[in-house]
Amino acid sequence: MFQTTRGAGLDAARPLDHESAAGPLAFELTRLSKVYHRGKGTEVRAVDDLSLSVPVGQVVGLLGPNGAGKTTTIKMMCGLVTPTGGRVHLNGYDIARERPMAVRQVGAVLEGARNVYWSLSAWQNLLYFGRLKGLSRKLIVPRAESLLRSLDLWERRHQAVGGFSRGMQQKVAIAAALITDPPILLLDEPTIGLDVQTARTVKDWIARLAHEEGKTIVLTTHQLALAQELGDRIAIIHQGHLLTDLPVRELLARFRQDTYEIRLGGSLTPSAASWLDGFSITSQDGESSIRGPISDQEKLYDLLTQVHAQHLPLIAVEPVEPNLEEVFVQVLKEG
Amino acid sequence: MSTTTTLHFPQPQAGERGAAGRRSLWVVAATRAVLNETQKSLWLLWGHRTIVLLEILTFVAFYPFLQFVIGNGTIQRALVPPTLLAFLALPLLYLAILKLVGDLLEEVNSGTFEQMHLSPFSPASLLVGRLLAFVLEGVLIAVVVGVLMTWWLGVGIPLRPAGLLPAALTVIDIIGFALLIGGLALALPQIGAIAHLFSGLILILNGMLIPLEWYPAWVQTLARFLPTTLGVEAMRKVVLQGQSLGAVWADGTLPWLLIHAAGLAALGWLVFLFNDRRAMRHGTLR
Repeated sequence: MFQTTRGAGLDAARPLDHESAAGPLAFELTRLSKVYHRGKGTEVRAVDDLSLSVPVGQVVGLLGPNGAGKTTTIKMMCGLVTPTGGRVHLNGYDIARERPMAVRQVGAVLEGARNVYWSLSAWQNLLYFGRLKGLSRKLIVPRAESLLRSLDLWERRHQAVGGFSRGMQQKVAIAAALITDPPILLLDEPTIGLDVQTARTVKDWIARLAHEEGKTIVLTTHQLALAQELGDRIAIIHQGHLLTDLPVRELLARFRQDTYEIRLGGSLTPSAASWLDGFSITSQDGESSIRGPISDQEKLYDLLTQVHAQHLPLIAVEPVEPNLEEVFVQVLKEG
Repeated sequence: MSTTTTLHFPQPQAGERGAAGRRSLWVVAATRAVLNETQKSLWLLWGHRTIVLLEILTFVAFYPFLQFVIGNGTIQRALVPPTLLAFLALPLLYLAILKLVGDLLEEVNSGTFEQMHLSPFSPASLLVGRLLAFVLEGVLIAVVVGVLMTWWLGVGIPLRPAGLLPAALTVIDIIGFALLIGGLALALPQIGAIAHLFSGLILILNGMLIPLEWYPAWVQTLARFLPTTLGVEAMRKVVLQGQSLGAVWADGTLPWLLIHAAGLAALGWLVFLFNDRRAMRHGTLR
């Protein structure tokens, strides 16, 4: 009855009616919407008819510009903001109707918040947040020790969190969110304000949680490279609408076909400029690279014929992988 | 991470499976969460122990100062037992109301209030756990003030077990009022001013300056609507005048105190729940 994880015991996740082709769903947002009333009849539609289903064990990058509705969505997912419409299921539990069980499925590190008590030590914080979810000290202690050791905080566990660096404070916040070993982790801008080294530690940790512990992670961030590196799929929202929700490879592939790069073993003559209008040409170390939009195979063969006439060795012809930043901008433009 | 610890909430034993077993497990977990809140607040108080020490010293100095001013430069010993008894409610009230409001607003700003809502247990019940810590601190201060004042001023307050009932009802009265003000704080961040106003009114009217009977009848009636007044009146009758609980029940003081404490606790609970849900609708838990 009181199980929090996807273990084998009684009443783990309630799976059968919440499964997809990719396996059981970790969470399911159904036609979720949120309208804030800001006085004098002003309404702000923060989230609008958003549906999103994510199978167990995936990392989802929830992206969007400022004010897109990411934080509101995250907060509705963990029951901190009441939706105007729609439903949230966490491991099969409806957050509105089965709140006590639903909130046990989730740990959250929220953006711009301390998330933990700075006047307390890291150890006290973990004990507190474990018991807050109904666990006994006997269950919390080994987990707290394991978390603090793996985050290199064990030696300083009895020091007040307020005296820690920003990165260490963020580690404590993540440990507190994980103290009950929840199957779903919501991370709202987890690396914001961190230096490069600490951000990398946090990033490695998120990767380990996803790939070694099989956690389902929702990650909101403006660092698109981070989302691309960690995410199994990317959901982009803008003005409360879900614009796209695709596996990372599929999303990148969608924007891949238009751009090619042709690498040649020599320098192009100035006369080539006439038939390379619209392409970018770079030369370095005796090699040339032609990069630009090629909409179909016919055009590609025409171009290769011209290149062949230059009597330069052909090194490679490759479709250019767009990065997530380019895709993000493109999706917003189209959306 | 190299090690994985999978946690499970306690499973019911064979004999206690079923609704009753689950309910008892739930009660155990909920009690643990409430006491956890008390422990956290005590940890925080210990972290600010210098401030707590200053509070104790301030309260110790405040009572004789008040009596000195009211007594026109002298402390009238006859007035000490009734006013001191009323004064002992002040630390509880002050800490429960002002510290709770301050704590709540700070937690709303820092985001830990949101984290509290990720618990399976009701935030209002968790808040009661926190109030218990403030009550413990208040009781500690009251005991220190009481012992020092009776020793220094050479007066005695008899320790009658029958006084525990009105004392407990007074504490419930204070907790209910603190929940009410705490609930209002979620909707009105400027509640601090109102909380100070009420604290001031209670300070003047609950009998800690002068006995309640010295006021005009209409002021006495008004004062009895405020938290602690009825409790102090009942305690004075039981502890100082030696009346039995039956007698205090028969003259209407105890029933009114019971109604006041229960009513205020229910109102405080409802207002907190209402404004907490409102904050979740408006997205203002933080």
